[in-house]
Amino acid sequence: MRNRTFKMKIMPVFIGVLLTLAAGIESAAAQNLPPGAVDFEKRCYSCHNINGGDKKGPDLKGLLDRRSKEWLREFIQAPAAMNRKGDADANALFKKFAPEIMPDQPLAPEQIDGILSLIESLTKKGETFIPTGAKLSRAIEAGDIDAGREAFTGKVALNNGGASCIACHNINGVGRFGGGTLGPDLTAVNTKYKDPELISILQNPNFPTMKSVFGAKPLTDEEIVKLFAYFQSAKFANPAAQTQPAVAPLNLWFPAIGFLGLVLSFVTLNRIWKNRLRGVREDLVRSSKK
Amino acid sequence: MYDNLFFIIVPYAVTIMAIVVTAQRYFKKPFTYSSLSSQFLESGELFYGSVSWHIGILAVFYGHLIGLLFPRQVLWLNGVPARLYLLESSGLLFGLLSLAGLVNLIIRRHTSARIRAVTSKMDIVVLLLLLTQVALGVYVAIFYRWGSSWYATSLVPYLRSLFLLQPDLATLAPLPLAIKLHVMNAWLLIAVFPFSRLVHMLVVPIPYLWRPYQVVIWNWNRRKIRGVAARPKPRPVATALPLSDELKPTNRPVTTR
Repeated sequence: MRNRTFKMKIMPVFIGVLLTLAAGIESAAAQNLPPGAVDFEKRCYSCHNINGGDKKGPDLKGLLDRRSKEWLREFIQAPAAMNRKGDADANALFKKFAPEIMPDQPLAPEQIDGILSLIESLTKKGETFIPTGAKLSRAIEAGDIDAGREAFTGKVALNNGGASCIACHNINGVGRFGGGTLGPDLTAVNTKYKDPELISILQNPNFPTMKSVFGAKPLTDEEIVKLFAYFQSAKFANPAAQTQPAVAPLNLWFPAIGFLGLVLSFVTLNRIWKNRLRGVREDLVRSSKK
Repeated sequence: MYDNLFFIIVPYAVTIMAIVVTAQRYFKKPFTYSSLSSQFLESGELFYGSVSWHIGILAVFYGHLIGLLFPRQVLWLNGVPARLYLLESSGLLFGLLSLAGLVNLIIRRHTSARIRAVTSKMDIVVLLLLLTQVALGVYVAIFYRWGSSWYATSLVPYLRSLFLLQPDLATLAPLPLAIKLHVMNAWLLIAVFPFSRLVHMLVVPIPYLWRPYQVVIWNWNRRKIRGVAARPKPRPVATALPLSDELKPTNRPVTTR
Protein backbone atom coordinates (compact mmCIF):
# COMPACT_ATOMS: atom_id res chain seq x y z
CA MET A 1 0.00 0.00 0.00
CA ARG A 2 2.88 2.31 0.95
CA ASN A 3 4.61 1.38 -2.23
CA ARG A 4 1.48 2.22 -4.18
CA THR A 5 1.18 5.66 -2.56
CA PHE A 6 4.82 6.33 -3.37
CA LYS A 7 4.23 5.37 -6.98
CA MET A 8 1.12 7.57 -7.18
CA LYS A 9 3.10 10.52 -5.84
CA ILE A 10 6.09 10.08 -8.08
CA MET A 11 4.21 9.12 -11.23
CA PRO A 12 3.06 12.64 -12.25
CA VAL A 13 6.56 14.01 -11.57
CA PHE A 14 8.38 11.72 -13.89
CA ILE A 15 5.66 11.73 -16.54
CA GLY A 16 6.22 15.50 -16.58
CA VAL A 17 9.96 14.94 -16.94
CA LEU A 18 9.36 12.48 -19.75
CA LEU A 19 7.08 14.85 -21.63
CA THR A 20 9.62 17.67 -21.33
CA LEU A 21 12.43 15.40 -22.52
CA ALA A 22 10.39 14.08 -25.39
CA ALA A 23 9.35 17.57 -26.44
CA GLY A 24 13.00 18.63 -26.38
CA ILE A 25 13.97 15.69 -28.52
CA GLU A 26 11.09 16.34 -30.88
CA SER A 27 11.93 19.98 -31.37
CA ALA A 28 15.55 19.30 -32.37
CA ALA A 29 15.90 20.90 -35.76
CA ALA A 30 17.02 18.75 -38.66
CA GLN A 31 20.66 19.37 -39.38
CA ASN A 32 22.77 19.02 -42.45
CA LEU A 33 24.39 15.68 -41.82
CA PRO A 34 28.15 15.40 -42.34
CA PRO A 35 29.30 12.40 -44.43
CA GLY A 36 29.43 9.18 -42.46
CA ALA A 37 26.99 10.40 -39.79
CA VAL A 38 24.17 8.09 -40.86
CA ASP A 39 26.44 5.05 -41.09
CA PHE A 40 28.08 5.88 -37.79
CA GLU A 41 24.72 6.20 -36.08
CA LYS A 42 23.41 2.92 -37.49
CA ARG A 43 26.58 0.86 -37.30
CA CYS A 44 28.82 2.22 -34.58
CA TYR A 45 26.92 4.35 -32.09
CA SER A 46 25.53 1.44 -30.05
CA CYS A 47 29.06 0.75 -28.80
CA HIS A 48 31.17 3.83 -29.62
CA ASN A 49 31.11 7.52 -28.82
CA ILE A 50 33.08 10.27 -30.44
CA ASN A 51 34.28 12.48 -27.60
CA GLY A 52 31.72 11.11 -25.17
CA GLY A 53 33.71 8.46 -23.30
CA ASP A 54 34.04 4.70 -23.64
CA LYS A 55 30.92 2.56 -24.00
CA LYS A 56 31.08 -1.14 -24.87
CA GLY A 57 33.89 -0.13 -27.18
CA PRO A 58 36.45 2.70 -26.95
CA ASP A 59 35.75 6.40 -27.52
CA LEU A 60 36.85 7.07 -31.09
CA LYS A 61 38.00 10.66 -30.52
CA GLY A 62 41.46 11.12 -32.06
CA LEU A 63 41.29 7.68 -33.67
CA LEU A 64 43.32 8.70 -36.71
CA ASP A 65 46.17 9.89 -34.48
CA ARG A 66 46.42 6.37 -33.05
CA ARG A 67 45.91 4.15 -36.10
CA SER A 68 46.55 4.27 -39.83
CA LYS A 69 43.66 4.34 -42.29
CA GLU A 70 44.78 1.03 -43.84
CA TRP A 71 44.75 -0.67 -40.45
CA LEU A 72 41.32 0.77 -39.65
CA ARG A 73 39.80 -0.33 -42.96
CA GLU A 74 40.94 -3.89 -42.36
CA PHE A 75 39.98 -3.93 -38.69
CA ILE A 76 36.48 -2.47 -39.14
CA GLN A 77 35.58 -5.06 -41.75
CA ALA A 78 36.89 -8.10 -39.84
CA PRO A 79 38.03 -7.33 -36.28
CA ALA A 80 37.86 -10.91 -34.99
CA ALA A 81 39.96 -12.19 -37.89
CA MET A 82 42.65 -9.60 -37.14
CA ASN A 83 42.60 -10.58 -33.50
CA ARG A 84 43.08 -14.25 -34.43
CA LYS A 85 45.88 -13.28 -36.81
CA GLY A 86 47.78 -11.97 -33.80
CA ASP A 87 47.80 -8.25 -34.63
CA ALA A 88 49.20 -6.61 -31.49
CA ASP A 89 46.82 -3.59 -31.49
CA ALA A 90 43.79 -5.78 -32.19
CA ASN A 91 44.81 -8.17 -29.40
CA ALA A 92 45.18 -5.28 -26.96
CA LEU A 93 41.72 -3.92 -27.84
CA PHE A 94 40.04 -7.30 -27.53
CA LYS A 95 41.73 -7.82 -24.18
CA LYS A 96 40.78 -4.41 -22.84
CA PHE A 97 37.10 -4.67 -23.83
CA ALA A 98 36.60 -8.40 -23.17
CA PRO A 99 34.18 -10.12 -23.19
CA GLU A 100 32.81 -7.84 -25.91
CA ILE A 101 33.66 -8.95 -29.43
CA MET A 102 33.22 -6.39 -32.15
CA PRO A 103 31.16 -7.93 -34.97
CA ASP A 104 32.36 -7.71 -38.57
CA GLN A 105 31.02 -4.59 -40.33
CA PRO A 106 30.38 -5.29 -44.01
CA LEU A 107 30.92 -1.67 -45.09
CA ALA A 108 32.21 -0.44 -48.45
CA PRO A 109 35.61 1.36 -48.34
CA GLU A 110 33.93 4.69 -49.12
CA GLN A 111 31.51 4.21 -46.22
CA ILE A 112 34.43 3.54 -43.86
CA ASP A 113 36.21 6.63 -45.19
CA GLY A 114 33.06 8.67 -44.55
CA ILE A 115 32.96 7.49 -40.93
CA LEU A 116 36.67 8.19 -40.48
CA SER A 117 36.34 11.70 -41.85
CA LEU A 118 33.42 12.31 -39.46
CA ILE A 119 35.60 11.19 -36.54
CA GLU A 120 38.46 13.40 -37.76
CA SER A 121 36.30 16.48 -38.16
CA LEU A 122 34.58 16.12 -34.77
CA THR A 123 37.94 15.49 -33.09
CA LYS A 124 39.39 18.66 -34.60
CA LYS A 125 36.39 20.72 -33.50
CA GLY A 126 36.37 19.09 -30.08
CA GLU A 127 32.68 18.25 -30.52
CA THR A 128 30.70 15.25 -29.37
CA PHE A 129 28.71 13.10 -31.79
CA ILE A 130 25.00 13.55 -31.26
CA PRO A 131 22.82 11.27 -33.36
CA THR A 132 20.23 13.28 -35.24
CA GLY A 133 18.00 10.33 -36.05
CA ALA A 134 17.84 9.24 -32.43
CA LYS A 135 14.61 10.85 -31.44
CA LEU A 136 11.22 9.54 -30.53
CA SER A 137 8.56 9.64 -33.22
CA ARG A 138 6.07 11.29 -30.87
CA ALA A 139 5.78 12.69 -27.38
CA ILE A 140 5.38 10.22 -24.53
CA GLU A 141 1.89 9.81 -23.15
CA ALA A 142 0.78 8.51 -19.76
CA GLY A 143 -0.32 5.09 -21.06
CA ASP A 144 3.03 4.42 -22.72
CA ILE A 145 4.65 3.09 -19.55
CA ASP A 146 2.16 0.26 -19.15
CA ALA A 147 2.19 -0.38 -22.89
CA GLY A 148 6.01 -0.51 -22.75
CA ARG A 149 5.85 -2.97 -19.90
CA GLU A 150 3.51 -5.17 -21.93
CA ALA A 151 5.88 -5.03 -24.89
CA PHE A 152 8.79 -5.85 -22.55
CA THR A 153 7.11 -8.94 -21.09
CA GLY A 154 5.65 -10.06 -24.41
CA LYS A 155 2.03 -9.71 -23.33
CA VAL A 156 1.70 -7.66 -26.50
CA ALA A 157 3.82 -9.28 -29.20
CA LEU A 158 6.29 -7.09 -31.07
CA ASN A 159 4.97 -6.10 -34.48
CA ASN A 160 7.84 -7.39 -36.59
CA GLY A 161 8.12 -10.68 -34.71
CA GLY A 162 11.15 -9.93 -32.52
CA ALA A 163 11.48 -11.70 -29.17
CA SER A 164 10.12 -9.88 -26.13
CA CYS A 165 12.79 -8.26 -23.95
CA ILE A 166 12.06 -10.37 -20.86
CA ALA A 167 13.54 -13.43 -22.61
CA CYS A 168 17.04 -12.04 -22.00
CA HIS A 169 16.74 -8.91 -19.84
CA ASN A 170 15.66 -8.07 -16.32
CA ILE A 171 14.10 -4.90 -14.97
CA ASN A 172 13.51 -4.74 -11.24
CA GLY A 173 9.87 -5.31 -10.49
CA VAL A 174 8.99 -6.98 -13.79
CA GLY A 175 7.81 -10.23 -12.15
CA ARG A 176 8.29 -12.44 -9.11
CA PHE A 177 11.29 -14.28 -10.60
CA GLY A 178 12.49 -11.30 -12.64
CA GLY A 179 13.50 -11.16 -16.27
CA GLY A 180 16.14 -13.08 -18.19
CA THR A 181 19.87 -13.00 -17.49
CA LEU A 182 21.31 -13.85 -20.89
CA GLY A 183 21.60 -10.11 -21.60
CA PRO A 184 22.40 -7.24 -19.22
CA ASP A 185 20.00 -5.90 -16.57
CA LEU A 186 18.09 -2.91 -17.95
CA THR A 187 16.86 -1.39 -14.67
CA ALA A 188 19.45 1.37 -14.95
CA VAL A 189 19.79 1.41 -18.71
CA ASN A 190 18.53 4.97 -18.81
CA THR A 191 21.28 5.99 -16.39
CA LYS A 192 23.97 4.08 -18.24
CA TYR A 193 23.07 5.61 -21.61
CA LYS A 194 22.05 9.14 -22.46
CA ASP A 195 18.58 9.46 -23.99
CA PRO A 196 19.72 9.72 -27.64
CA GLU A 197 22.10 6.80 -27.09
CA LEU A 198 19.31 4.63 -25.72
CA ILE A 199 16.90 5.60 -28.49
CA SER A 200 19.60 4.91 -31.06
CA ILE A 201 20.21 1.44 -29.58
CA LEU A 202 16.49 0.70 -29.72
CA GLN A 203 16.46 1.80 -33.35
CA ASN A 204 19.64 -0.02 -34.40
CA PRO A 205 20.70 -2.56 -31.79
CA ASN A 206 24.18 -3.35 -33.00
CA PHE A 207 25.32 -5.63 -30.18
CA PRO A 208 26.11 -9.07 -31.62
CA THR A 209 23.26 -11.00 -29.97
CA MET A 210 20.70 -8.23 -30.45
CA LYS A 211 21.68 -7.68 -34.05
CA SER A 212 21.22 -11.34 -34.89
CA VAL A 213 17.72 -11.35 -33.40
CA PHE A 214 16.46 -7.87 -34.30
CA GLY A 215 18.43 -7.17 -37.50
CA ALA A 216 15.60 -8.40 -39.70
CA LYS A 217 12.85 -7.73 -37.15
CA PRO A 218 13.39 -4.16 -35.95
CA LEU A 219 11.24 -2.45 -33.34
CA THR A 220 8.63 -0.08 -34.72
CA ASP A 221 8.70 3.64 -33.85
CA GLU A 222 5.66 3.17 -31.61
CA GLU A 223 7.32 0.29 -29.73
CA ILE A 224 10.46 2.39 -29.25
CA VAL A 225 8.42 5.20 -27.65
CA LYS A 226 6.70 2.77 -25.29
CA LEU A 227 9.83 0.87 -24.31
CA PHE A 228 11.72 4.12 -23.79
CA ALA A 229 8.94 5.33 -21.49
CA TYR A 230 9.08 2.06 -19.54
CA PHE A 231 12.87 2.27 -19.16
CA GLN A 232 12.52 5.83 -17.88
CA SER A 233 9.88 4.74 -15.37
CA ALA A 234 12.12 1.86 -14.20
CA LYS A 235 14.86 4.34 -13.40
CA PHE A 236 12.48 6.48 -11.38
CA ALA A 237 10.91 3.51 -9.61
CA ASN A 238 14.35 2.21 -8.54
CA PRO A 239 16.18 5.16 -6.97
CA ALA A 240 19.44 3.18 -6.67
CA ALA A 241 19.43 2.69 -10.42
CA GLN A 242 19.86 6.44 -10.90
CA THR A 243 23.37 6.37 -9.50
CA GLN A 244 24.69 2.91 -10.33
CA PRO A 245 24.03 0.50 -13.15
CA ALA A 246 22.11 -2.36 -11.54
CA VAL A 247 23.18 -5.93 -12.06
CA ALA A 248 20.44 -8.56 -11.98
CA PRO A 249 20.87 -10.42 -8.70
CA LEU A 250 20.74 -14.18 -9.00
CA ASN A 251 17.11 -14.71 -8.16
CA LEU A 252 17.14 -17.56 -5.68
CA TRP A 253 13.41 -18.16 -5.92
CA PHE A 254 13.77 -19.88 -9.25
CA PRO A 255 16.41 -22.52 -8.31
CA ALA A 256 14.72 -22.94 -4.90
CA ILE A 257 11.40 -23.80 -6.55
CA GLY A 258 13.24 -26.26 -8.79
CA PHE A 259 14.88 -28.05 -5.85
CA LEU A 260 11.63 -28.10 -3.89
CA GLY A 261 9.92 -29.63 -6.92
CA LEU A 262 12.66 -32.25 -7.10
CA VAL A 263 12.11 -33.34 -3.50
CA LEU A 264 8.34 -33.42 -4.01
CA SER A 265 8.82 -35.50 -7.15
CA PHE A 266 10.84 -38.11 -5.28
CA VAL A 267 8.22 -38.28 -2.53
CA THR A 268 5.42 -38.59 -5.11
CA LEU A 269 7.22 -41.25 -7.16
CA ASN A 270 7.91 -43.21 -4.01
CA ARG A 271 4.24 -43.09 -3.01
CA ILE A 272 2.96 -44.08 -6.44
CA TRP A 273 5.23 -47.11 -6.57
CA LYS A 274 5.35 -47.86 -2.87
CA ASN A 275 4.28 -51.47 -3.47
CA ARG A 276 6.95 -52.09 -6.07
CA LEU A 277 9.09 -55.19 -5.78
CA ARG A 278 12.15 -54.03 -3.98
CA GLY A 279 15.17 -56.12 -4.76
CA VAL A 280 13.41 -59.13 -6.27
CA ARG A 281 16.69 -60.81 -7.02
CA GLU A 282 17.82 -60.52 -3.41
CA ASP A 283 14.68 -62.35 -2.28
CA LEU A 284 15.18 -65.03 -4.93
CA VAL A 285 18.77 -65.59 -3.90
CA ARG A 286 17.82 -65.68 -0.22
CA SER A 287 14.94 -68.11 -0.75
CA SER A 288 17.09 -70.41 -2.86
CA LYS A 289 19.46 -70.80 0.04
CA LYS A 290 16.77 -71.90 2.51
CA MET B 1 36.44 -20.80 -38.01
CA TYR B 2 35.94 -23.24 -35.13
CA ASP B 3 32.27 -22.31 -35.13
CA ASN B 4 32.00 -23.57 -38.71
CA LEU B 5 33.67 -26.83 -37.75
CA PHE B 6 31.73 -27.49 -34.55
CA PHE B 7 28.33 -26.17 -35.57
CA ILE B 8 28.08 -26.92 -39.29
CA ILE B 9 30.50 -29.66 -40.35
CA VAL B 10 30.23 -31.78 -37.20
CA PRO B 11 26.39 -31.70 -37.11
CA TYR B 12 26.04 -32.87 -40.71
CA ALA B 13 28.79 -35.50 -40.34
CA VAL B 14 27.38 -37.02 -37.15
CA THR B 15 23.78 -36.95 -38.37
CA ILE B 16 24.62 -38.79 -41.59
CA MET B 17 26.77 -41.25 -39.66
CA ALA B 18 24.03 -41.80 -37.07
CA ILE B 19 21.41 -42.58 -39.71
CA VAL B 20 23.65 -44.91 -41.77
CA VAL B 21 25.19 -46.81 -38.86
CA THR B 22 21.91 -47.09 -36.96
CA ALA B 23 20.21 -48.64 -40.00
CA GLN B 24 23.16 -50.92 -40.67
CA ARG B 25 23.23 -52.11 -37.07
CA TYR B 26 19.49 -52.73 -37.09
CA PHE B 27 19.61 -54.90 -40.19
CA LYS B 28 22.98 -56.58 -39.69
CA LYS B 29 23.11 -57.08 -35.93
CA PRO B 30 19.52 -56.83 -34.71
CA PHE B 31 20.28 -58.61 -31.45
CA THR B 32 22.62 -55.83 -30.34
CA TYR B 33 19.67 -53.43 -30.44
CA SER B 34 19.26 -53.26 -26.72
CA SER B 35 21.07 -52.30 -23.61
CA LEU B 36 22.90 -54.86 -21.53
CA SER B 37 21.49 -55.91 -18.19
CA SER B 38 20.89 -53.16 -15.67
CA GLN B 39 20.04 -55.80 -13.07
CA PHE B 40 16.43 -54.93 -13.69
CA LEU B 41 15.11 -57.06 -10.87
CA GLU B 42 16.74 -54.84 -8.29
CA SER B 43 14.43 -51.95 -7.67
CA GLY B 44 15.81 -50.19 -4.64
CA GLU B 45 18.63 -48.02 -5.98
CA LEU B 46 17.61 -48.56 -9.59
CA PHE B 47 14.20 -47.03 -8.92
CA TYR B 48 15.61 -43.64 -7.85
CA GLY B 49 18.06 -43.74 -10.71
CA SER B 50 16.29 -45.13 -13.72
CA VAL B 51 12.74 -43.88 -13.11
CA SER B 52 13.68 -40.30 -12.26
CA TRP B 53 16.26 -40.21 -15.07
CA HIS B 54 13.81 -41.40 -17.69
CA ILE B 55 10.90 -39.21 -16.55
CA GLY B 56 13.21 -36.17 -16.39
CA ILE B 57 15.05 -36.66 -19.64
CA LEU B 58 11.93 -37.53 -21.66
CA ALA B 59 10.18 -34.36 -20.47
CA VAL B 60 13.26 -32.24 -21.20
CA PHE B 61 13.78 -33.88 -24.60
CA TYR B 62 10.19 -33.30 -25.70
CA GLY B 63 10.36 -29.77 -24.28
CA HIS B 64 13.29 -29.04 -26.61
CA LEU B 65 11.45 -30.70 -29.50
CA ILE B 66 8.25 -28.69 -28.96
CA GLY B 67 10.32 -25.50 -28.72
CA LEU B 68 11.95 -26.37 -32.03
CA LEU B 69 8.70 -27.14 -33.81
CA PHE B 70 6.52 -24.36 -32.35
CA PRO B 71 8.74 -21.40 -31.40
CA ARG B 72 6.06 -18.76 -32.00
CA GLN B 73 3.54 -20.58 -29.84
CA VAL B 74 6.10 -20.92 -27.03
CA LEU B 75 6.82 -17.18 -27.21
CA TRP B 76 3.08 -16.51 -27.05
CA LEU B 77 2.79 -18.81 -24.03
CA ASN B 78 5.65 -16.98 -22.33
CA GLY B 79 3.97 -13.63 -22.94
CA VAL B 80 2.56 -13.61 -19.41
CA PRO B 81 5.31 -13.79 -16.74
CA ALA B 82 3.33 -16.28 -14.61
CA ARG B 83 3.15 -18.72 -17.54
CA LEU B 84 6.82 -18.18 -18.35
CA TYR B 85 7.78 -18.93 -14.76
CA LEU B 86 5.61 -22.03 -14.67
CA LEU B 87 7.17 -23.37 -17.87
CA GLU B 88 10.71 -22.57 -16.75
CA SER B 89 10.22 -24.01 -13.25
CA SER B 90 8.82 -27.22 -14.74
CA GLY B 91 11.78 -27.39 -17.13
CA LEU B 92 14.24 -26.90 -14.28
CA LEU B 93 12.45 -29.49 -12.16
CA PHE B 94 12.68 -32.11 -14.92
CA GLY B 95 16.29 -31.15 -15.58
CA LEU B 96 17.13 -31.62 -11.90
CA LEU B 97 15.17 -34.88 -11.82
CA SER B 98 17.19 -36.27 -14.71
CA LEU B 99 20.45 -35.01 -13.19
CA ALA B 100 19.69 -36.62 -9.82
CA GLY B 101 18.65 -39.85 -11.54
CA LEU B 102 21.77 -39.92 -13.68
CA VAL B 103 24.06 -39.32 -10.71
CA ASN B 104 22.29 -42.19 -8.91
CA LEU B 105 22.77 -44.45 -11.91
CA ILE B 106 26.45 -43.55 -12.21
CA ILE B 107 27.06 -44.23 -8.51
CA ARG B 108 25.20 -47.53 -8.76
CA ARG B 109 27.14 -48.57 -11.85
CA HIS B 110 30.38 -47.73 -10.11
CA THR B 111 29.66 -49.43 -6.80
CA SER B 112 27.78 -52.57 -7.80
CA ALA B 113 30.05 -55.40 -8.89
CA ARG B 114 27.27 -57.04 -10.91
CA ILE B 115 26.75 -53.91 -13.01
CA ARG B 116 30.45 -53.15 -13.36
CA ALA B 117 30.80 -56.59 -14.86
CA VAL B 118 28.44 -55.74 -17.72
CA THR B 119 29.71 -52.19 -18.27
CA SER B 120 31.45 -51.48 -21.54
CA LYS B 121 33.79 -48.59 -22.27
CA MET B 122 31.10 -47.07 -24.46
CA ASP B 123 28.71 -47.09 -21.49
CA ILE B 124 31.18 -44.95 -19.57
CA VAL B 125 31.54 -42.55 -22.53
CA VAL B 126 27.76 -42.28 -22.82
CA LEU B 127 27.32 -41.64 -19.10
CA LEU B 128 29.99 -38.93 -19.09
CA LEU B 129 28.50 -37.22 -22.15
CA LEU B 130 25.00 -37.38 -20.65
CA LEU B 131 26.23 -36.03 -17.32
CA THR B 132 27.99 -33.14 -19.07
CA GLN B 133 24.89 -32.43 -21.15
CA VAL B 134 22.41 -32.42 -18.28
CA ALA B 135 24.71 -30.49 -15.92
CA LEU B 136 25.28 -27.83 -18.60
CA GLY B 137 21.53 -27.71 -19.27
CA VAL B 138 20.73 -27.09 -15.60
CA TYR B 139 23.53 -24.51 -15.38
CA VAL B 140 22.21 -22.66 -18.43
CA ALA B 141 18.62 -22.81 -17.12
CA ILE B 142 19.64 -21.15 -13.84
CA PHE B 143 22.34 -18.72 -14.94
CA TYR B 144 21.10 -17.76 -18.41
CA ARG B 145 17.39 -17.74 -17.78
CA TRP B 146 14.83 -17.66 -19.63
CA GLY B 147 15.96 -20.27 -22.06
CA SER B 148 12.52 -21.29 -23.27
CA SER B 149 12.16 -17.83 -24.80
CA TRP B 150 15.64 -17.15 -26.17
CA TYR B 151 15.86 -20.71 -27.48
CA ALA B 152 13.03 -19.75 -29.84
CA THR B 153 14.89 -16.74 -31.18
CA SER B 154 18.57 -17.64 -30.93
CA LEU B 155 18.82 -21.43 -31.34
CA VAL B 156 15.75 -22.44 -33.34
CA PRO B 157 16.83 -20.32 -36.35
CA TYR B 158 20.23 -22.05 -36.26
CA LEU B 159 18.73 -25.56 -36.05
CA ARG B 160 16.20 -24.76 -38.78
CA SER B 161 18.95 -23.44 -41.02
CA LEU B 162 20.69 -26.80 -40.67
CA PHE B 163 17.52 -28.70 -41.62
CA LEU B 164 17.01 -26.42 -44.63
CA LEU B 165 20.61 -27.09 -45.72
CA GLN B 166 21.40 -23.37 -45.48
CA PRO B 167 23.46 -23.25 -42.31
CA ASP B 168 23.43 -19.86 -40.61
CA LEU B 169 25.40 -19.23 -37.43
CA ALA B 170 24.39 -15.58 -37.00
CA THR B 171 22.15 -16.19 -33.98
CA LEU B 172 24.29 -18.91 -32.39
CA ALA B 173 27.74 -17.32 -32.73
CA PRO B 174 27.40 -14.58 -30.07
CA LEU B 175 25.94 -16.87 -27.38
CA PRO B 176 27.92 -17.60 -24.18
CA LEU B 177 30.32 -20.54 -24.04
CA ALA B 178 28.15 -22.70 -21.74
CA ILE B 179 25.29 -22.64 -24.24
CA LYS B 180 27.61 -23.42 -27.15
CA LEU B 181 29.10 -26.33 -25.22
CA HIS B 182 25.58 -27.63 -24.55
CA VAL B 183 24.88 -27.58 -28.30
CA MET B 184 28.27 -29.09 -29.17
CA ASN B 185 27.84 -31.88 -26.64
CA ALA B 186 24.44 -32.69 -28.15
CA TRP B 187 26.15 -33.34 -31.49
CA LEU B 188 28.65 -35.61 -29.73
CA LEU B 189 25.77 -37.58 -28.22
CA ILE B 190 24.33 -38.06 -31.70
CA ALA B 191 27.80 -39.19 -32.82
CA VAL B 192 28.02 -41.98 -30.24
CA PHE B 193 24.32 -42.84 -30.53
CA PRO B 194 24.59 -45.68 -33.11
CA PHE B 195 27.57 -47.27 -31.37
CA SER B 196 26.11 -47.30 -27.88
CA ARG B 197 23.24 -48.64 -25.82
CA LEU B 198 21.36 -45.41 -26.58
CA VAL B 199 19.80 -47.18 -29.61
CA HIS B 200 17.42 -48.83 -27.15
CA MET B 201 15.29 -45.69 -27.34
CA LEU B 202 14.40 -46.59 -30.94
CA VAL B 203 13.01 -49.97 -29.94
CA VAL B 204 11.05 -49.15 -26.81
CA PRO B 205 8.66 -52.12 -26.38
CA ILE B 206 5.55 -49.96 -26.55
CA PRO B 207 3.28 -52.97 -27.44
CA TYR B 208 3.88 -54.13 -23.86
CA LEU B 209 1.28 -51.56 -22.90
CA TRP B 210 -1.56 -53.39 -24.67
CA ARG B 211 -0.39 -56.94 -25.31
CA PRO B 212 -2.25 -59.60 -23.30
CA TYR B 213 -0.55 -60.53 -20.06
CA GLN B 214 1.30 -63.79 -19.84
CA VAL B 215 0.89 -66.29 -17.05
CA VAL B 216 3.99 -68.19 -16.15
CA ILE B 217 3.39 -71.51 -14.45
CA TRP B 218 6.05 -73.79 -13.11
CA ASN B 219 4.79 -77.32 -12.97
CA TRP B 220 7.43 -78.58 -10.62
CA ASN B 221 8.42 -77.81 -7.09
CA ARG B 222 11.26 -75.38 -7.48
CA ARG B 223 12.36 -75.57 -3.89
CA LYS B 224 12.45 -79.31 -4.02
CA ILE B 225 14.53 -79.32 -7.16
CA ARG B 226 16.87 -76.77 -5.71
CA GLY B 227 17.03 -78.72 -2.52
CA VAL B 228 18.11 -81.83 -4.40
CA ALA B 229 20.50 -79.99 -6.61
CA ALA B 230 21.86 -77.65 -3.96
CA ARG B 231 25.51 -77.99 -3.30
CA PRO B 232 26.91 -77.78 0.21
CA LYS B 233 27.73 -74.28 1.28
CA PRO B 234 31.41 -73.50 0.78
CA ARG B 235 33.16 -72.95 4.07
CA PRO B 236 36.14 -70.68 4.51
CA VAL B 237 39.27 -72.72 4.88
CA ALA B 238 42.04 -71.37 6.99
CA THR B 239 45.26 -71.61 5.09
CA ALA B 240 48.67 -70.18 5.66
CA LEU B 241 49.51 -70.28 1.99
CA PRO B 242 48.51 -67.39 -0.29
CA LEU B 243 46.10 -68.36 -3.03
CA SER B 244 47.37 -68.27 -6.57
CA ASP B 245 45.70 -65.75 -8.88
CA GLU B 246 43.74 -68.48 -10.64
CA LEU B 247 42.09 -69.55 -7.44
CA LYS B 248 41.09 -66.11 -6.24
CA PRO B 249 37.37 -65.39 -6.59
CA THR B 250 36.55 -62.87 -9.29
CA ASN B 251 33.39 -61.09 -10.26
CA ARG B 252 33.65 -61.89 -13.96
CA PRO B 253 30.28 -62.64 -15.53
CA VAL B 254 29.62 -66.27 -16.20
CA THR B 255 28.69 -66.75 -19.82
CA THR B 256 26.95 -69.79 -21.11
CA ARG B 257 26.60 -70.85 -24.69
